[in-house]
Amino acid sequence: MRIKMSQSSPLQEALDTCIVILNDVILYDTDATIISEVIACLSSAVRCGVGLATRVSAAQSIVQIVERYPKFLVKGSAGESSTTKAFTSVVWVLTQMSSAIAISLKKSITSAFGALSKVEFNIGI
Amino acid sequence: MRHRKSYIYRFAWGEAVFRVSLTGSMSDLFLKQIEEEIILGSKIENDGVGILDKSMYCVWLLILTKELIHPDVDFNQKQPLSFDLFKRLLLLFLKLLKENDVFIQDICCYGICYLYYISRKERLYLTQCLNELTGTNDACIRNYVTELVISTLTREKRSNQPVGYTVAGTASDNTAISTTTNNATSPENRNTTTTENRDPLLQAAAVAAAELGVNLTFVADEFGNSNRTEQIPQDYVIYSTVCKLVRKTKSNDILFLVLSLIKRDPTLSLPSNQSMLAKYSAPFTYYESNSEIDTFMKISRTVVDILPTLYHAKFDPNNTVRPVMIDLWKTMINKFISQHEFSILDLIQSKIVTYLIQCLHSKLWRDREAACLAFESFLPQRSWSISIFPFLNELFCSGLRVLDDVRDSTRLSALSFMKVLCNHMERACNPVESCELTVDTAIKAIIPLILEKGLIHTSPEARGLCLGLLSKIIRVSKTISAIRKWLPNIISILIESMSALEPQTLQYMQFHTTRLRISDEELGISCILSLII
Repeated sequence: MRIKMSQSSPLQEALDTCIVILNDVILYDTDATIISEVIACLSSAVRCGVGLATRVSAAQSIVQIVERYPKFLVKGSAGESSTTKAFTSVVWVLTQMSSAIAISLKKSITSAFGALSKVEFNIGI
Repeated sequence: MRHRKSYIYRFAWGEAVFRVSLTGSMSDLFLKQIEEEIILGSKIENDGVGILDKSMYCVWLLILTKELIHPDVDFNQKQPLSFDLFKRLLLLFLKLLKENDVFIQDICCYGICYLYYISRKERLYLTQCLNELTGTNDACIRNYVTELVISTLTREKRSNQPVGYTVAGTASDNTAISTTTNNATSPENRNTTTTENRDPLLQAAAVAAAELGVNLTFVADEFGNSNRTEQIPQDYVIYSTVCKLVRKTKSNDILFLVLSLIKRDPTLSLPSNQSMLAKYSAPFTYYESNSEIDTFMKISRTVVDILPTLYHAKFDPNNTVRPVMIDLWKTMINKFISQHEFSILDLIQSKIVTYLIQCLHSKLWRDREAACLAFESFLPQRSWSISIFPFLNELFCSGLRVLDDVRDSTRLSALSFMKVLCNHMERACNPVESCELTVDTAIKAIIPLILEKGLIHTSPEARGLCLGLLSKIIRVSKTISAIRKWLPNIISILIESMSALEPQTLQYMQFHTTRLRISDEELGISCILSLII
């Protein structure tokens, strides 16, 4: 319920709008360095953020961005290092803090792990 | 004799006595008797004019002062107005101003304005007298009058100060009867015409009044010192506010302009008394210089300089002060500014904004609150590029500062002001309502302000307002390239703010659930309850 309340707030709406605007950005910025900057911010929020809603939103945003713009995050792109950092953060939270985090957060981070693994899998292939 | 309180009666009596005084050389005697009673406090019961009401003295003094404006009118002796008489009249009016009676206070205000008006007209002559008296060469009669009035209004002990301006009430039965005075054959009048041992001055006044078409009747008992039942609620703030305004604007004329505008007695608003009011009300005293070569444009420029101060004063949070300041503003605009009020505000909008920003940092809560209220009224429909954008940083930071004010009413005013400012900022960032160049410059200026100053502010109201503004700006300006470089910062801050709805204590507790022996479910329930409640 806490997550639902935060996701129905105007802040979540603004956040969704920002992620949509990223789509316009990559039309002009072919390197899409902005995507890697955003992923870096989100991964630090997943790892060190204060508040359940913050960390859940960060994890869900990672999922959205990875699914929307995978080609800017794969090996050889500008977003490679930030993807690795996000993956490391997600794995650290799942392994080190698994017992201390709420179920809803665990679900969101697992989703982020899945999305990032897909990218890493592509990298690996 | 209820009608003795009516305006027409009092003024007709005053006119009559004045006429008799001029021809019968009794005016000096009358003035001395008034001084004895009012200044020295001696009562002269049933002897001469001592039985009269103080309001009658006031009217007579006002008529005398009014007639002294004309250079051809002499007082008693065939010589021009002396400084001694000028000073005596001023002191009498200032003394009577302290009476707990709205009528007397109104008349005294008018009388003081007439004296100030005279001090300008006969400035050289009276200044010479003042210089001789004080032994200096730089004394100015206008400043002398102003200092005396300000001293009386502010510097004396509170118990000795004039009672102050009061909110005008409605005309009561006792005060509204003005038409009956013209009815010379009314039964009430006929019953009171048989008074014996009448004072000769009163008899002469009755004769003179008859020439004016008013039948006056006097009954000794009626003019005793009757107990005033109409006690005025005490409120001293108006005079002190006006005196502060005089110091701020450095314009003595403002004080006398306010005094001339004061109409506390409800009978003044009656339609039947309008002609009487037009005849006896105080002269318009605002005029910066005596020089004949002053043009209307020069005066207008001087007025424009003090308009920001007057505009700020117009929004004083005190309900007693505000109507007076609004009257003052309207009078100044109507008299000196040929354009419409909105146009003149457009012309001086930069000056007004600069002055109001200064007031937002004032130590007095009244100034801060008035500045917020003034901004709330001023900013809508003003130009973004002239009134707001050049001052955006100061406006935004000062507004956030007042949002954290110690006083509730000031915080509410600041919230209203900030909402208006945020509306402007949102419109400036909206490509539908503003041109592309304006939107680009606005976003470059606004986003750093929100991120660096608004969202980290100590006041929760300020943080909430800034978050709301940020989300609105993102929504309306998503097609603008200027916002793109701010996206990482904005996303990071929005993510961090997602938990801002929940209390910080519970957020701290979630790191210590094991130590506190609280399960995640219990913590979640506490968070939900805190949000719902």
